[in-house]
Amino acid sequence: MIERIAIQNFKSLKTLDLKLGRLNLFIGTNASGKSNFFDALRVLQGIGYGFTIHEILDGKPKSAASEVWEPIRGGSAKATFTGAADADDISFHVWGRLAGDAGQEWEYLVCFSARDGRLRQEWLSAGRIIYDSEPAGNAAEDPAFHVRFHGGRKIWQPHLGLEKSRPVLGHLARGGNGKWSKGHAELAQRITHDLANMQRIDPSPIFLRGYSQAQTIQRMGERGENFAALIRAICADEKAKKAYVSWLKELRPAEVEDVGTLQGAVGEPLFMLKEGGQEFPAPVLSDGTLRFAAITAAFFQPDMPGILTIEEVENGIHASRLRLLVEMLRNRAKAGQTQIMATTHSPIVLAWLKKEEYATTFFCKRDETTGESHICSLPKVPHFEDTVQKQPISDLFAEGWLEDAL
Amino acid sequence: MSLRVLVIPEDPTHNGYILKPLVERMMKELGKPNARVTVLTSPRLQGYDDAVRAIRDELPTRYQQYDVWLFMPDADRASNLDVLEKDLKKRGVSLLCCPAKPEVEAWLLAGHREKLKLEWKQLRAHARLKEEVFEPFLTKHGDERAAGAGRSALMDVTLRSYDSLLKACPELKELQERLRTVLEGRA
Repeated sequence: MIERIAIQNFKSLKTLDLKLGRLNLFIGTNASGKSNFFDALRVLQGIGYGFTIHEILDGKPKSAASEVWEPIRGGSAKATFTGAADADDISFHVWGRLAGDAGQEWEYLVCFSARDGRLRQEWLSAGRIIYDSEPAGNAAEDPAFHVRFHGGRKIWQPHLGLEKSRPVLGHLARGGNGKWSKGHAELAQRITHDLANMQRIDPSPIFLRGYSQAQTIQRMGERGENFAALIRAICADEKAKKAYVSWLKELRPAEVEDVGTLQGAVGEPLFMLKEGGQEFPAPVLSDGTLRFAAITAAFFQPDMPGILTIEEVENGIHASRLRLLVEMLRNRAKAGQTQIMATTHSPIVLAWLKKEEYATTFFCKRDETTGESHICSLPKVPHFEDTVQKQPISDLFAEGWLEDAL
Repeated sequence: MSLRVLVIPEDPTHNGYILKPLVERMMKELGKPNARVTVLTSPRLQGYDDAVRAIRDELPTRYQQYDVWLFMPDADRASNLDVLEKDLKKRGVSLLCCPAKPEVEAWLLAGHREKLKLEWKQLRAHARLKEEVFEPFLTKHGDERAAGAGRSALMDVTLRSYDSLLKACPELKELQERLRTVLEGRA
């Protein structure tokens, strides 16, 4: 889980420092910086995969070891904050906690130039410094990147320098050719796994209405690819199926009796709902029903991500059912397995938040003059806490009060 | 046109999973199996005082299309509900109040008494039923992944012994009789 993230000079995020929770909502007008924050998360995911800076920013074709990696929007050319001087590098400072290990906190900083794709600074700490590039005195013209253990002992001689284009964290996670301690390599493996174990979903009815290519899968595709195969996997676990169906029953005014899959010519699955004794295959179901079914299914994947990002989570879902959506996000975040990051434009979604959830609801605003995005939690918006006692939060958002206040 | 029933809880997020199937079952018992039961979610009520204020102020205009309103709060803070009913009657609203003793969760637990360590009498007088009895019960017997953390499925079990529920919770039996009178008056 990422508990805190500080970013400098990345796209419209000149300076940002956010404390995150299990359920994080991002609100703000179009082009306010929400998606840039999500791009920042993808940079961390790329680091988790062990990609080079250029691969992370500009994309990477499919290889024997990895799937296609889509470039960050704008690529390396647009990755640095527009108003930044040439010397201003991009930096990510992340405070995290390992999945499944309540006590193990870690802190990681990486600073790089998007222009030449080279590292400038990097260190990792988990209670104590594990490696740090700063004492190694890396010169800009040096072709290699050097790091040292805290305490000054060199672990790499200059002629064994690391790649300057690839974050050291991934190198350590791969064992570092035996030069690193086993414990540190294992720790780096767990951190990179947590960073890479991020899933973005934006289910599209076009994919959800179709047959899945796979028979059964552990994780759905970003646009809802293999949704029906995921349903088949969920239905194989009777308890998971019962819990999954309970959400759909709340969504549909007519009684949902069951969910399942129909089969194509060669057994490929197609999603279906059963109501009033009749089977309704995916092609006849509404966009909203399918999207809700897919977003809900994402929380029942046999292989759950550590971080799940969903943009415009309310899309296609009727206003009267948004209460249910918020309840589901809260319920799944509380379970603790997955950290949720979602954007929304819906005042109704906000209306259903609990007051304690405002701390991890972030308002985003772009300064029209500087192009800088400001993102802060709702309680940090001036006068928010007083005003929300008197006015519904949904009204404050819909009327543009937040825009004016920040 | 089906009979339209508006259920007003203190907390729609969780109580709705208990109240909606309960009222639907009650309507079936009264010969109205097709009654449309809606749990109020807007405005979002936040506790007893907020609910009473909304019932008096904004709901009569907004929800006048409903034939019967049922206000089902926790009994711990409920008072002067007969006055509230009379005041709403003057405005043409058929409101019946039924406070749950001690809290709405007791109605669900009535069907699971064999799983509880407390005597039913003790449970009905428990000052912190929700926190100290219901939450641990839900953790053990519900499903944290399901909608309402499994309240609906547990309420289904309770409603299978509907007569026993009415016997254990006389306020529900009284509500059913009052509803019968209201429906007969409409016929």
